[in-house]
Amino acid sequence: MSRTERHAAITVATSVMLLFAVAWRAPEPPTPALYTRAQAERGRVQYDAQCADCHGAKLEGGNSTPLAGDAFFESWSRAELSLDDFYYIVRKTMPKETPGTLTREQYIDVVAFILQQNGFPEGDTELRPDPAILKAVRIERPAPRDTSVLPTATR
Amino acid sequence: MMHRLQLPLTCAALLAGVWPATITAQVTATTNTQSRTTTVGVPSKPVPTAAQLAAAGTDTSNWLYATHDYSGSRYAAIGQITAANAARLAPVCSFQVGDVSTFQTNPIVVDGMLLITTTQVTAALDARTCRPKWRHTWKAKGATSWPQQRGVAVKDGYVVRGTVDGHLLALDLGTGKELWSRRIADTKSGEALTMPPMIYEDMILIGPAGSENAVGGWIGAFRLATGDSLWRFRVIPAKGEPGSETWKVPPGIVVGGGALWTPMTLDPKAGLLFAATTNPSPDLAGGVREGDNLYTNSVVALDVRTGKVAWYRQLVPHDTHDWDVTQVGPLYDGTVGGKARRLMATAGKDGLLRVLDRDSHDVLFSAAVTTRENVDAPIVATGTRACPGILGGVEWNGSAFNPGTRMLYTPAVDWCTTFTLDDEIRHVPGKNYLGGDAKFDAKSSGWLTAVDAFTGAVKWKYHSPRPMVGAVTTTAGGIVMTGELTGDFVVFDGRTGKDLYRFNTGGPIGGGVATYSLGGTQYIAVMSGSPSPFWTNENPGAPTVFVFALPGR
Repeated sequence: MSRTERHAAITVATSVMLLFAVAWRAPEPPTPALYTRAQAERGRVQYDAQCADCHGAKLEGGNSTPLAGDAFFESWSRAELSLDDFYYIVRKTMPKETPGTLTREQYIDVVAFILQQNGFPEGDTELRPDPAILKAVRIERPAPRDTSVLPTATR
Repeated sequence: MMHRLQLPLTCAALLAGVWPATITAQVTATTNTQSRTTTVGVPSKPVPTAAQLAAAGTDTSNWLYATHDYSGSRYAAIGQITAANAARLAPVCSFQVGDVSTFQTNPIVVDGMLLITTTQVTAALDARTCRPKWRHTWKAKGATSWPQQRGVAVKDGYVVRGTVDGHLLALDLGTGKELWSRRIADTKSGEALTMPPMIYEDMILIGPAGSENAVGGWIGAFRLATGDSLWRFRVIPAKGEPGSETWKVPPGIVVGGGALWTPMTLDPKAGLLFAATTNPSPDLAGGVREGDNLYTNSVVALDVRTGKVAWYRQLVPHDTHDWDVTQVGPLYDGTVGGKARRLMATAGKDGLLRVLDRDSHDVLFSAAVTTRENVDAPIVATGTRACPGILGGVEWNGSAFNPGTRMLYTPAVDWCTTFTLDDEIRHVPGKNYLGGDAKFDAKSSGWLTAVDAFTGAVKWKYHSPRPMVGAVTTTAGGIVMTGELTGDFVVFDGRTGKDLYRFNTGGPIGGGVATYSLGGTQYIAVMSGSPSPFWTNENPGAPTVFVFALPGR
């Protein structure tokens, strides 16, 4: 192998390694469980009473902006936006004719319900209207469940 | 997520020593709001022509623009239905659009076809029988913004509208097939294409709504055959441009506004396009944007071929109530104060109807068309109740002008609001940015006010139990027609305000009312359905077209 050929081989090998190194990515970390089922159920009651007329019974956004699915993530899944921004907009601008008239607990329950309807996992701890917590959460489509831990037989 | 997926492809391409054209194109498509999304088609039925549009004001068999004609008259020179026979009106047919949507469409009538829109649907009906001819459903391709939709514009066989995801969409008048579409508005930043476009020569003229979302408003011209951008006027001047000195903004504060959501008017002889611009934002927090905030809440006159400002008149400087200027018509001529003048009626959410001289740009007179209380009181943290409220005054439908009665007929909303300033002014990109709260009074109502178009004297008033947001149409028969949120289609005597005919359409009316004569019969098409949840209570309705005529015609 000539010197040129050796250089070429090293270059190719390095390139291939680089390519794999860049293309490989760690598995998505599991989306944290941010709220409880009971909280989301309380949120559903508020949502049905205060929000469903405009945003649709299934959050599809019949007469207003959708709060679930692709359109929701298109709107909110942005690097500069956090769950605290979403909570802020909900509590400052909703319900449309009487903004700010729910309690902070009621607003955060509605947020929990919307997270649930968008596939965010339930957990054992309720979501609280704490900016420090909410600012740390980005509204990204939840990662699919990690099936690698499931028994082989179930695959 | 997008970056994580794109990075390996990009690195692989670089390592291979090439830049794949397909990847470049994808990146362009996701970042360039001017990207073409379809091929360009050719219309099959090239009407209405430029001559027809120029003569729309006297056309009795068509309704060719959202507000009837370029002058925005909302007047048809048809006299079959009069105060003497209007009580005999009866429904001829109806059409249920069938989708869940708001319904604010301004119908267009051309060549015997009635064109209507909802958020996603564009449909053509037989204007005499309501039988559907074609239907097009737009599937949103990205982030959506406000779902309100106020109708199409037509010319040379093109049917053009905005979409909820920021596209300009051109359909074939003959078949409803898509000819082209272009993304022109950035819905992620809060821009929303809700207004009906105008078409003049080979230009589609339109701009986005979204002042509450702190967008920077603009008015654009796009080529009819392709959607190519021709010019764009920025309503909020860039730093250093004329008008930018009227914004004194602390560092780090985001401001915006001056967006559009209502029909424009045009003076073809002068070559001037008129647009009503909306509020500055943050809407209520005027302290962070000291100055007049040009060109918000103004009548802006642009050279229609270049987009350059010919003149402007700001009607609500340094607004802190969301008192958009919403109307730049009708345009009409006549003598005021002993002088022959070219005039413009203009109105907005501050509840004033004003008449401007289009040459001197002076406001000649004004008339209140809603309750006006506490209008000069500052917005403070403890709350300020003012009328009109944040959704008061003249909304998306404006005055109609009848040259026979010499009156302007203006629908309006009486709905006071308590405005409260926030301690925190927080900008969340693309979302509502008020800098405060607006809480609506429990009670609201509406007015239809008839005003002498040459003196400003109020001639009669009708008080509706609900806000009046439906279109008002008047005719050579001396009648005035509109719809109410109660669901009633109503015909008034234009001279006296006497209620001549009522028909309950079963859902609120906040859309258009068009009239046209076909085969010797005068028809009236009325759009019934929820304008948006703001305006409905126990009965939201569903998008439905009703057509009326005199029996036996």
